[in-house]
Amino acid sequence: MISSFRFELMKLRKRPSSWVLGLFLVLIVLFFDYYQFYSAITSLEAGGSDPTQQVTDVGEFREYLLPARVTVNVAGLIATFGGPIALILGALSVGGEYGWGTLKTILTQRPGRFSVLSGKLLSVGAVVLAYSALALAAGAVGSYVVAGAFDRAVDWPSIWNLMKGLAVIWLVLGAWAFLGAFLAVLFRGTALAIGLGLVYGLVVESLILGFSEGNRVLETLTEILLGTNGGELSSSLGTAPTAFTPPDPADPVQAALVLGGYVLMLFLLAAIVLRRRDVT
Amino acid sequence: MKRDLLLETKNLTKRYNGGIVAVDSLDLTVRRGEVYGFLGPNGAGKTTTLRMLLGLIRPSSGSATVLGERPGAPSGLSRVGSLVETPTFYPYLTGRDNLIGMARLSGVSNPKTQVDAALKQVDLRERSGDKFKKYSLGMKQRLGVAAALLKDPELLILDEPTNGLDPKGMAEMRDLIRSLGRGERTVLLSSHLMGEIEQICDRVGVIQNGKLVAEGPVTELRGAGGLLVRAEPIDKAAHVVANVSGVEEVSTTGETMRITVDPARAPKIARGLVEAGVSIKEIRPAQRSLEEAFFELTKEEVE
Repeated sequence: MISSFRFELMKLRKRPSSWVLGLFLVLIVLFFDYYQFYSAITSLEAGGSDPTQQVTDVGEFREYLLPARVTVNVAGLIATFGGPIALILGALSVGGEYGWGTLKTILTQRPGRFSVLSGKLLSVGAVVLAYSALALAAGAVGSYVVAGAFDRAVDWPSIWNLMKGLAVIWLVLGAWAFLGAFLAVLFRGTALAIGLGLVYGLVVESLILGFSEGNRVLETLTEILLGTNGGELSSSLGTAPTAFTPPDPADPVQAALVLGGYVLMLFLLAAIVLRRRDVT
Repeated sequence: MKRDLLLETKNLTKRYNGGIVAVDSLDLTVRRGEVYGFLGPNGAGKTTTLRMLLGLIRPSSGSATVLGERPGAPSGLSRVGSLVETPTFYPYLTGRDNLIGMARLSGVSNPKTQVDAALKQVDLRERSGDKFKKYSLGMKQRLGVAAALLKDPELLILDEPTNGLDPKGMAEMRDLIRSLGRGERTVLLSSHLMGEIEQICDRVGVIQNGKLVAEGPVTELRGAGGLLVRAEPIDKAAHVVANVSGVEEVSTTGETMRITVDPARAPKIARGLVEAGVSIKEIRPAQRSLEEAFFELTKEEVE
């Protein structure tokens, strides 16, 4: 499994799409977490309008953008918008093997199917950890620039808070990445996995949330949705302006367990499907 | 004898949904140190069989052992090098990086040294820094063979390795396979090109519609052979030859006569013809090509 993990990591490191997705994540953090609110605040202060229509209190929003709240800000944004990026990473990582026909090449070397999949998903987990750190670093740069622009003191969050933020972001992105990987194994390719994964993340979960009020079944279902639990977990760090705030915030430990459960369940399902199927 | 078997299948069968039987009760044996040709037309079930032997496809019934292990077992795969159908690698990685990755997966102790040696063996060292997507088909095939050699395998399974190669590339690939088959290494070579099998292999298995229709040494499959005689008058010659002991069959076309007989009886036949007043223009040994033998075997099977 170690050899498989090392090779998978090398492949992801040398694959251009891994870098493009990471860059995209950085740009999202810088733009949606900092630039747009910074622009809105300066516009309102100059007597203009707020293009985001979210800044209700200029002073409060200025605080949101400072380095002390970087983990809250970044985790909140990732929980809302980061899922599709991680889903694409997971789907590309596994689905590419079917597209290029390389699955047969690696399975005829030595490691068994379980080792190959374990190495692959471990490497996806490692890249997701790098993405999480990158997102936090981008947030740190954004907040540092904003603090300078507002002439405010730079107070960084504690190491514990940073680690907690990193863990939350990793768990949220990891669950989505594993969903992408599982769908790629299930559909033996990348296109359908990404397509259906995005439809689920961007449409199905929103519909369930939208119609859940008063509907007991849908209400129960919201408690196990990836988006809901990601939001609940990130909101445990604090309230972020861009984050989706669940209607009925639950225990963050429960949310973490649900997301961890997704990671484990998706890994096992992918292993079962891969093991049972012929490689043609 | 049994312990010399490196690969053995018993009633190996693959039946797909819809009732299509790709491989039908196949009994195959490959012995240590031989170059075994797995011959059959396109769609005969060769690749499906090889995929089952490598653990990529699960048989519907029957069994197979490869190097004493079940197909796909890591301990067995670590001693098997393979190239199944077209060589597939990661297009964004260089040839060398692809091989280093495969060497690591195979558990090779010194990946870089082994990769260098394999690249040298297939004459691809100069282009090893290029990305796989920039390789020609011939280079891709050679990289596939290099990947198969990384483990210094006991058994080499090659599926149509000359596919898509130009005549020069095909000749080079044949030389390479021939050199790989020397010594203790065993090669299982699947091909639909009879000339290729005839030139390279010691023993041949012929598969048709998923069934093994013949198995044996190339010379045995080609048959005992015979003699080709050009003589005048041919009718008289045929009558004389038919009465020579050991002659099984005589057929004539124009002034040429094909005799099914042990070629060692040529002097006796020549003497008989001369004594009967027949003038001999040519007499030489004639043996069926593998192609002729193959068509005969598969024709019988179809009938």
